[in-house]
This record gives sequence, structure tokens and C-alpha cells, in this order.
Amino acid sequence: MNNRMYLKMKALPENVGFIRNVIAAFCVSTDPSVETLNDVKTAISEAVTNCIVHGYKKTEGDVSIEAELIETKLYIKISDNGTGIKNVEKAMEDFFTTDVEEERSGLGFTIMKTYMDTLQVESKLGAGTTVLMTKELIHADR
Amino acid sequence: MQISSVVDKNNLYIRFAGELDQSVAGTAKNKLEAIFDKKTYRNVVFDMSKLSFMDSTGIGIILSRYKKLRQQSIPVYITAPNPQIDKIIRVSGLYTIMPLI
Repeated sequence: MNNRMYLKMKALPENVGFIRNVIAAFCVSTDPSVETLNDVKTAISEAVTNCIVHGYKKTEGDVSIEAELIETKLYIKISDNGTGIKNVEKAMEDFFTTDVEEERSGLGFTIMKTYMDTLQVESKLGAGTTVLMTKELIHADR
Repeated sequence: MQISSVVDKNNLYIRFAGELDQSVAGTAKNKLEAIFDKKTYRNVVFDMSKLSFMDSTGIGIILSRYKKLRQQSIPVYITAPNPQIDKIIRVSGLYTIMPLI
């Protein structure tokens, strides 16, 4: 079965948990393992947190999520209209963070990359950032 | 999100409960600050048994606490993480500096 959903929410820390749980619920119809579902939840949490903490910093804005299931493969797009990333390549390096004082780990993109099958980041300074991720939810060995 | 602490035989146990992400980051930092300021201890154990979810925001909070404790030569350990938390700690490489007990 193919399926699609859209979600737009105010970029608030309070909404991170809601968004990752909605996406997890959206994936449940494919009957993924608990580990796969946790991987998706964690990667979504990272992407949405980036929109809030880095995209909008202390300003207000919305985070948009588009998710699509084609058979058992998840396609997800998370975007903001925030400040954008100056150097995407640098931002994707392990432990790199622009926010040293706020005790950030610099592992957001590392985790998205590790937990999902593919990760693509598109960003334009002053216009915003879009993260595209895919993951096959069912593995043949199950 | 709750954080409580117990001192047992020079070990300070920090018990996390609930979900540790950006929504509780500020509260978590303040609570940890208050706990570490008051107690005396030789080892620190982060007890994850009641924590259901953690992302890299949580890793950042734990890591910054570790850096402060290392300056005082206080060893830090992690205990009882669920599979989701165990994986993110492993992927982040935290077990090399905070062994699992």
C-alpha cells in the first residue's frame, strides 16, 4: 500500500516528541521492527530539533514534514524557512556544531546518516533548509 | 522528564526518567547543575533504566557533564539503557569514555 501525509507545526521544542511519534505511527502499517521504528523516531527528532535550534534559533517559524510510504519504504522531507546552513559539508561532519555554548553534541546529521538509508541536505542562506531521508522499513531477514 | 539522585557508598547515581530531548533540555541542565553542586561522591553513574527515549540533545547534555567531572578526575559510568538509548550511546562513541556497567 502507498500512503502520504503532510504536517506543519510551529517550530517549538514541545512539538519534537509529537512529530516523531506521528511519523512512527504513520510507519506502523508496514509492520516494522521496534528497532527500525526507533531509528526513524530518532532521526526525525534530530531533523526537527535542527529546524528549531539552528534554523530559527530564537525566532518563530514553522517546520513542515512530508512523509510518503511506497510499499515498505519511507520517504521523508523535513523543512524550515530559517537561516539556512552556511556550509552544509562542514555541518555534516561528526561533532561539528556552531552552538558551542549550548552544550550541543554536533551529532545530529551523523545520527540521521547512520539511522536512515539515505540523507540529503539542501540549504540556502536566509531561505531555509530541507532534509530528505529514506529508509526501507522491512528487511528480508525478518 | 524527571531526574533524581541517590548517593550510595561514594557513588552518585543520577536517575533519568521519561524522554530526554530538546523540549526538556533547559530543565535537565538546571536539575543536573543543582544535583552536582550539592553532593560529594567519588564516582558518577547515569542510570538510564527509566529513560524511554533520548536523542543527540541528550548526548550533548551528558557529554558536557562528563567534561566537568573529568576535570575533577571523577569517573562516569552508564547503566541500564533500553535498546534505543544503548544504540545512540554506542553510535556517539560515549561508551569509550563512560563504560557500561
